[in-house]
Amino acid sequence: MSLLQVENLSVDFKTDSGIIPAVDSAKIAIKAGQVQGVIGESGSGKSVMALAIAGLLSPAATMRADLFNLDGHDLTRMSPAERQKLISSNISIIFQEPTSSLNPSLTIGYQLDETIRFHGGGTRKQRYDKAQELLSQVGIIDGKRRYKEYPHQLSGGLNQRVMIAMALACEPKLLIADEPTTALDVTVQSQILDLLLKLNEEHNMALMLITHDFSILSETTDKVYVMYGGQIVESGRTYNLLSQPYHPYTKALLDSVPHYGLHYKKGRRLFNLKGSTPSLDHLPVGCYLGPRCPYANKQCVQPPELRSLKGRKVRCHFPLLEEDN
Amino acid sequence: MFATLLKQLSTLVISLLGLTVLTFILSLQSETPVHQFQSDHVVVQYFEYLQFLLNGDWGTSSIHKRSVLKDFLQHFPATIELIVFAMVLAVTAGLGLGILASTRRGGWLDNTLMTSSLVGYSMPIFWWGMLLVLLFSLTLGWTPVAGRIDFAYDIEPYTRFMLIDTLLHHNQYGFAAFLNALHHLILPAVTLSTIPMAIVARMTRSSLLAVLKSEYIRTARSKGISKQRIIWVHALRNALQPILTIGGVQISIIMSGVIITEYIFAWPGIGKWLLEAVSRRDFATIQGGVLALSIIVIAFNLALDFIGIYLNPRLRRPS
Repeated sequence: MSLLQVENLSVDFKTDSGIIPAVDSAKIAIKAGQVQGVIGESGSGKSVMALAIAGLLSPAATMRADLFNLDGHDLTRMSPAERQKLISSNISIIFQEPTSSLNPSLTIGYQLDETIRFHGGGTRKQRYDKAQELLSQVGIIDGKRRYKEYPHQLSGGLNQRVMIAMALACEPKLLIADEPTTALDVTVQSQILDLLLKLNEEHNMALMLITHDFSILSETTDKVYVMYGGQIVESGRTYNLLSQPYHPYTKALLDSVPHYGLHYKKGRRLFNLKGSTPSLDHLPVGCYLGPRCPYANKQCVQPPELRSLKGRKVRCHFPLLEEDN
Repeated sequence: MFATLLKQLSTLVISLLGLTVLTFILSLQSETPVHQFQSDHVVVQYFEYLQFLLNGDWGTSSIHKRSVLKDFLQHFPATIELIVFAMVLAVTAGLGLGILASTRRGGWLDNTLMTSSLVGYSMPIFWWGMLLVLLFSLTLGWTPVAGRIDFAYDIEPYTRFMLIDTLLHHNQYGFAAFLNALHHLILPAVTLSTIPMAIVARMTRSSLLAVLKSEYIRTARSKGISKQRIIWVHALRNALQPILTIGGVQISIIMSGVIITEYIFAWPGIGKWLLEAVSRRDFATIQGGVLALSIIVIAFNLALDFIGIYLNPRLRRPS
């Protein structure tokens, strides 16, 4: 039984130049306590998909889904208010820029306290104790002092910890982390990732990690979705997918990552995928990767379906076999 | 924070000095000298002039031979009453309409409000005031045409603030005099507040819309916080900064607007007093009045700066 099950999720943006499909029939399933990754370039629709799941799309966007089950409830049959209530108590989300994701005019304590009040509540004293407990859980040592401070007085790493504490205050079953470490220093990055994984284990809280960095996914996730042009082009168990990609795009992404240490090969040139990510209002005919794909041929003008292949899902007419890798 | 306050105060002193230079030059143009200077040198005269000002000698009116400062203080309360009332009206209504428009962005209410605010913004105040008198006073008969209070009430000017003085005469007239004064205040205040109200409404709308797009509002939404709370607690506090800046400009618009408004409604305040002085080439009065009004504008802007610092923790508590 999945915690979250979404099928045929599409998100369109209405703009002056027409309707832009930001996410195209995505299918996501997350079990309780599972860690999943979503990877893709900027503009591949991964963040929009996360916002759609968290119910935070802007009014300019329309969202459709054939199936949207969360913790055994069918969200497609709910009013928007009911849906928002269920989502906000089950799903929390943290973002790329922790400092601008916190209100600059309100203290850390106020924002944390407000979240606790909306999810459970209690007396002022109980809420304060809970806030201090959350701050120490996310590894903030001087919680009493930080409680009174403003976001601009804290570093990016600390603010991200505060964001995580606020997310935890909702006691979510799923935490979506949208590039949680992109804006942080490398040493802080690993601290935040470790924290997220620790909380995932301790609270049995499922984690959806959105990133464009394979090195983060390979160590942390059970399952990976690869997105391109608003579509999921490949999904499967992390180890299998990384060791033998079936989709040419996944392979291209992997080949463009530099290797260090044991895997370092002298003279290996990094692969560089021709062209650039297609703009969503000018998507190519057929397979969206077609014009950039080194394996493309005539058949690729037909749009490929997402199909099962050896326990994985691939959207390609010519999935790569062993000898191609 | 202390350094910021000091910086604000020093700009106040500098702008006040600049102002006195301007009024001093103005007084040199007068046919009858405003002050009797001992020195012949113009720079020394300027310092003598400053000394006169500080001693409370702002010159004597060449027309009715009264002390300018005394005259000013006599006329000032009426103007303050009008300005404060108009300002409160402009800010509350402007904020309210701006919030209303921003929450219904693109809807018919938003479009109607923004179009009418553009009309209000571009309406010349003398024309608008007369239109209001024509409709509400002459045609409908809802409001008095002019003045601060009916002649039936004999109000001793203790404070010269009509609303306060009428309350002090409570045992004589009850609340009737107070309500009558309030009744007289409505139409001039509406006239005066129209342009600032339109500007505050437009500013509030655009500033709120920008804030509502920000990432911390998205965070607040993700926590499941109600729409009202997001607007009033999370958005408005951050949207207020540019509105305050615009508010500082409004006071100078109101100051020049009040002169015309007082003339239309025969309001016995600074505006009417100054306008008469201008038409009779009473240099001492013009000079003193201009100086006083400018000091008020500067002080008001300084106060707004302090409020801005207080509201913005990034200025109040630098990291």
